Amino acid sequence: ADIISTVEFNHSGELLATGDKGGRVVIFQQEQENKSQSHSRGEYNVYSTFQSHEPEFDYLKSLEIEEKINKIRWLPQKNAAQFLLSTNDKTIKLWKISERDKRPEGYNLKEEDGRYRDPTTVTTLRVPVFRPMDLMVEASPRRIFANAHTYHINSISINSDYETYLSADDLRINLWHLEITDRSFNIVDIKPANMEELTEVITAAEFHPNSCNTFVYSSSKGTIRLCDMRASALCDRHSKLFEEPEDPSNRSFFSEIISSISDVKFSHSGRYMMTRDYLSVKIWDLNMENRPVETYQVHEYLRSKLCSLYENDCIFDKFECCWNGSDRQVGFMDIVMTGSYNNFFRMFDRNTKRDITLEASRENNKPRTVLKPRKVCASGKRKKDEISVDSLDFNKKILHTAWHPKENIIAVATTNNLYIFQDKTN
Amino acid sequence: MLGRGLKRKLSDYEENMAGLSSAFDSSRNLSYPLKRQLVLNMCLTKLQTYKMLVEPNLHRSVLIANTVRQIQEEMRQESNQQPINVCPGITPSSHSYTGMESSGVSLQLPSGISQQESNCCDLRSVEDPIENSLLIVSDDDMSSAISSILKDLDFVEDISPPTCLVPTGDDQPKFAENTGLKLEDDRQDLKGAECVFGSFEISNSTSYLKDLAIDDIFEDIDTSMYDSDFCCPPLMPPRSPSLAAEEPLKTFPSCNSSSANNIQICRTDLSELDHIMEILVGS
Repeated sequence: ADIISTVEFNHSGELLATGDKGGRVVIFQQEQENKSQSHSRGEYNVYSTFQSHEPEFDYLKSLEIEEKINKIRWLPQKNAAQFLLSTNDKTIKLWKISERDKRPEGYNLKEEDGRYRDPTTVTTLRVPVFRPMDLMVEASPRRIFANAHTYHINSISINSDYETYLSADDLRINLWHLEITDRSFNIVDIKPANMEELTEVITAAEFHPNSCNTFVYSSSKGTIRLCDMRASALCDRHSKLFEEPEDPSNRSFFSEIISSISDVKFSHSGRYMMTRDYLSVKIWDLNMENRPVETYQVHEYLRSKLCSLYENDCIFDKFECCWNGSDRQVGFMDIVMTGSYNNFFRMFDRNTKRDITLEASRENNKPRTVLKPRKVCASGKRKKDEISVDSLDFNKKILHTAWHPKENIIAVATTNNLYIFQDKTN
Repeated sequence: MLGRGLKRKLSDYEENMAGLSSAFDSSRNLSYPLKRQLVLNMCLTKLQTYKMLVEPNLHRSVLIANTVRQIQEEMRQESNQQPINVCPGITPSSHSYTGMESSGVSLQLPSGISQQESNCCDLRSVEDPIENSLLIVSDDDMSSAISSILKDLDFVEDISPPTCLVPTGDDQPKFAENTGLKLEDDRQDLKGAECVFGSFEISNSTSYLKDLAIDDIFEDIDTSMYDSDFCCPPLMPPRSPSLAAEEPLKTFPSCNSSSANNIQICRTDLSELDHIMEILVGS
């Protein structure tokens, strides 16, 4: 139940939300920066914990609906309260997180503990006043968007109009208005009339960061479709289809399985998008459909282990990927990050073309020390400090990572733990 | 020496599979057709396991089914060029791996097929234990296996409609203006029949069902099929192909013999149920 299933920073980076398999959301808040301690930015401490989803039983189908949180997406902040969308397989909920640090005191008819006073004992009247109290963070569900998905929801994405959002399951994508819970519009439907003809499912979807009419969705066949909602109400015909022709030299029985895209993310400008398949990260220019502009190998050494990884189901692991924050403090950075096995995660610098492998592990890294780069030895003689492919732990997978929107702080989730790293500041 | 028909424990099976797949990866001793057969068997095993689940993972099932189809296509093309002796009548569900056993094939087979199958396998070289442990599966059985799995997914998943476009005068046009969307009424017509469930908010109101005696509600629904003893170990005793297709349908209440009829019957039952629910909810 403590398995982390999603990680997401809010728009300011002050809050970091995690969802887990038990349906809980835990939000961390960054401490205010201490001016005297300029060497480290604020630490993240637990701010709020609440149960977002409970397990449900669908009596008609005799199915249990898991409470696992698949995705969390924050809304931009409009007032004192924070809002986020969290979803399990079937239901999306809008949560309001608000602070309470004052409470009214001095009621006339009630004692402080809530008991009612005998009216005959009241001799004077006073006006209740607000007095400070210990900070209390409350989370309350404001909207519940249910009953619109037959299949399992894999993505939610808030539109740049901040009024609508999309939710995607294996075969359909629905468009919602944040204020309206009893209906949604179906904008993509790839379910064939005859299920026996089904060969492709939707794996991820996202709205364009700037154009509120544009969204993309990825498929299990390694394609990405860009759709324009202005073209028609049902976007079954794509405006663009992004697909890289297969490399015949790499063909294997598992080619299709490893081409399935597990995550798609637009760049902050909206000019590029990044996709993650089993072995690589690809950067696509929205203006070029026939191949990606860059491809980064995450763990190419696994290509010769595909049968074993298929046998133990690891080949179906869905890794996410993320871009670095948009406000770059030092220079012009363009880095993408994704996870791997053995609690390794990888970063690729698009400018220098350098890449690094780091490990999220308490045993191998003391707090506040600089992470040591790791290296996996694919074959041949293993050098000192290298790890051979056969000794990788495939149960230790990093599927979820997030990058602070403004600073060089990253959140990396191993199976049960959340690690927060920041870059070294002098 | 292990006799024929000895049931292997699941852990042994897993170890053997791991041995086979690492043999595949290191490309030792395995020719291309053998590798292909191994992958095919792994796929079919997984599909079989998924069929056992109440709610199989659609994404994985589709990927595995595609892999099976691809291998099937390749094998079909090869057999068109070169006729190969393929043993018919062996379903994907009949397997138990012997791994490195060299004493021959130990399998669980229906009595009618065993003779045929062992004859067929005797044609292959006895020295290679890996070859002996891999079964040859016919095209038709694979196709029917994939079809039945995908059909099941349809039946399991799509009882309730995904969306319901409800035109409600004022709100709708306003929203359409804001986002520039055009509603398509014909889409709604298709889903109209299923929309009978659309207004019924199941997930928000499941709690009341806990208070009711569920047995009383379902008294008039035929659950004789549902009562049958469906508890199979992961390595299922094999059945003939015709039975294999019927099996998944048995797991659902009120299901009888063949496909289209079933869904009609079940939908009728469900609409009755819906009617009952409406009364209970008082909507």
